[in-house]
Amino acid sequence: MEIRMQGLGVSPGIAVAPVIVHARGRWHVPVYAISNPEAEIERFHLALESAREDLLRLYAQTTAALGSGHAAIFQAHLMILDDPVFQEEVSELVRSRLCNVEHALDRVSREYLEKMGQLAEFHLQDRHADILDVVDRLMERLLAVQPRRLADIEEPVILVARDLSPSETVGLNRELVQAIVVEVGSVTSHSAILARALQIPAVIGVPSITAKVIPGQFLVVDGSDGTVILDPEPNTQRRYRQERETFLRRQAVYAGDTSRGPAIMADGQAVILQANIELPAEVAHGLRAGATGVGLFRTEYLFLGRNDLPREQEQFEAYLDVVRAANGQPVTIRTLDIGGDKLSSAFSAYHEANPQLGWRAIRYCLAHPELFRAQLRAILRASAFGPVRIMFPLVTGPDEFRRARDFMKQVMLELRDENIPFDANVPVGAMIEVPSAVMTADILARECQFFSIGTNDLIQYSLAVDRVNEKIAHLYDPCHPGVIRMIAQVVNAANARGIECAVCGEMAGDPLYAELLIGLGVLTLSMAPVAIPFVREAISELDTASARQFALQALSIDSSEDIRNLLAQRYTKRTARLNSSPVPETAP
Amino acid sequence: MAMHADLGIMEARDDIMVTNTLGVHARPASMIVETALKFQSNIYIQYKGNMVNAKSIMGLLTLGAAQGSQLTVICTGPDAPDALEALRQLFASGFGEA
Repeated sequence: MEIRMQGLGVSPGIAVAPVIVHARGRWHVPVYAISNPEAEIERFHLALESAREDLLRLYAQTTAALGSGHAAIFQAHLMILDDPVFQEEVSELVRSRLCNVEHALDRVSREYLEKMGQLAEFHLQDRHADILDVVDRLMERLLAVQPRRLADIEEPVILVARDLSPSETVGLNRELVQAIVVEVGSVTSHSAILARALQIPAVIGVPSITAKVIPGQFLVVDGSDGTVILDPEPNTQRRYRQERETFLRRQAVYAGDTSRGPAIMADGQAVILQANIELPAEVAHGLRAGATGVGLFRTEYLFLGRNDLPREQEQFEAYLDVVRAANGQPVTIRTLDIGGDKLSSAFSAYHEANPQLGWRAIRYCLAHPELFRAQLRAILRASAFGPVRIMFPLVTGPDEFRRARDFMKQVMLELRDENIPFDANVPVGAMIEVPSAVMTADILARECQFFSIGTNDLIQYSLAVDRVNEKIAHLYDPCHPGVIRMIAQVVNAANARGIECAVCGEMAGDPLYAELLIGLGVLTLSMAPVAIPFVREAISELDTASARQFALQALSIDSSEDIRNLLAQRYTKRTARLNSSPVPETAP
Repeated sequence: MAMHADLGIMEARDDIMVTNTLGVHARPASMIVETALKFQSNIYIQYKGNMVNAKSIMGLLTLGAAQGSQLTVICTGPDAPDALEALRQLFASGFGEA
């Protein structure tokens, strides 16, 4: 009997494969007496040397794939491995006790971990995990056990875990790990960000899945909508395998495709397709998929998983990397979109009952001028090197937008006084994702140089639905008449003032909604790089006049079910046509 | 500063205050190791009867020195004064925290 579970899709793509369940290595550490301590210590040094080679290789690989920021974790591991006092203490214990080195390593590392555990206020959890990682690496070698390293997976699998550390995620073999499902995490968690960067389909927030699956059992994972199916029936497997094939085939076709620039509708109308990215390395994925610049650069990753704030220079370098990689195409940088609860608790032991309605995003930035100033300075400095736009998240209305923009103007004056170059005409816009911003869109349109509709949050806020809550996730509905009217209202307000209105939520990356959004007047869509070829293809089948007519019809329908059915009907008819036409062969 | 001329070994020691808000947490600890490794001298940091080697990340992680703590830094070796000065500057910079 197949069992369906609902999580949060954080990295698109489909997988059907057997499961492996990952848990950190739990060693049975033997204790025995030895007679030749120097030989024992020699074993230790060989293990250290081999672990060092491994870490250096991982560091180089990760730097090449994702940039030095994400490779820093391996530097931290190397520093632990090379700790001279730690090494000496282990060796000394072997000499004085005449015990095996595994036991000595276990005892010495435990003592350190216990002492660190008593320093709760220093937030050393990450280092704690790093030390365990390094000790595991050494134990594997000393005990000559089969390494449980995820990098060593040999067959196509779906990886299920309670959680994955960043070092585990970056070390994954992306050819073989077809999808990741984890119990904890959020869209902005490090492993979700890395999964997207590595283009591995991922679903997070599936509680107790590690207990429910049996290793080797088949699983279906849809990283777009968050569906996870345990023990799928043959029919289900077949259907998802087909979808996966189509997805991969089109991806391959478009990877060899030279389509660049805007998507062109059947009647010649251009629609701009941009990439949503988090890591500088992803710009290349976007451009390869044919994106015209970056429509949403999420900057949260710079602030996560650390005890301090990223300095202006560090941020500047990251933004500059993206601007340079975009190669003259525009880059819309969104200012920090997380809150006090997500930023390191080193700043405060701050907890909220309801963080979605809490002290976050632009609210948090306006309350922390030093943090906001450093980020704006870094973005503005990067704007001297290529076209940059600044977007404020979670804007609730005109006053808030003005406060943020005025603060930015002040920062510009400071830069001018310091003779630091920046683009004085940098466009500034608001992410429209709160119903009150929709209702004031006509006022905001006078102040903003562009809008970008964040459909995920807009739908959650306007329908009062938390989509991670299994009981109500089905109420999250992009076809709700209320949602469609809101989008229409925002686009109309933007058009009345002649400013651009983009959509950067998941709706933009789903070909199903392309006709509706374009019909409502949206001519810029920003999405995950993998989605671009699919949306481009869907758009090529559309016609402006009939999309317009369809949107007007959708606005007058009084049931979301009817809207959804109509949308699906039209879409299926078009894709049936597309699928019956031969898919072009990939270039050899 | 004391000079043991007969041994050619210099010792430099001084009290240093932890000024940054977060204290000696993970990143400052790494920065201390990176700085200490540039010198030949042995460098120890003493705090509350706890003495750790400044070239040992594990030791520094167990130091537990919060903002306002008074540490004693003891450097012994041919480049002891320079090592002490480098660490003094590192602590004074607040480890670059915003």
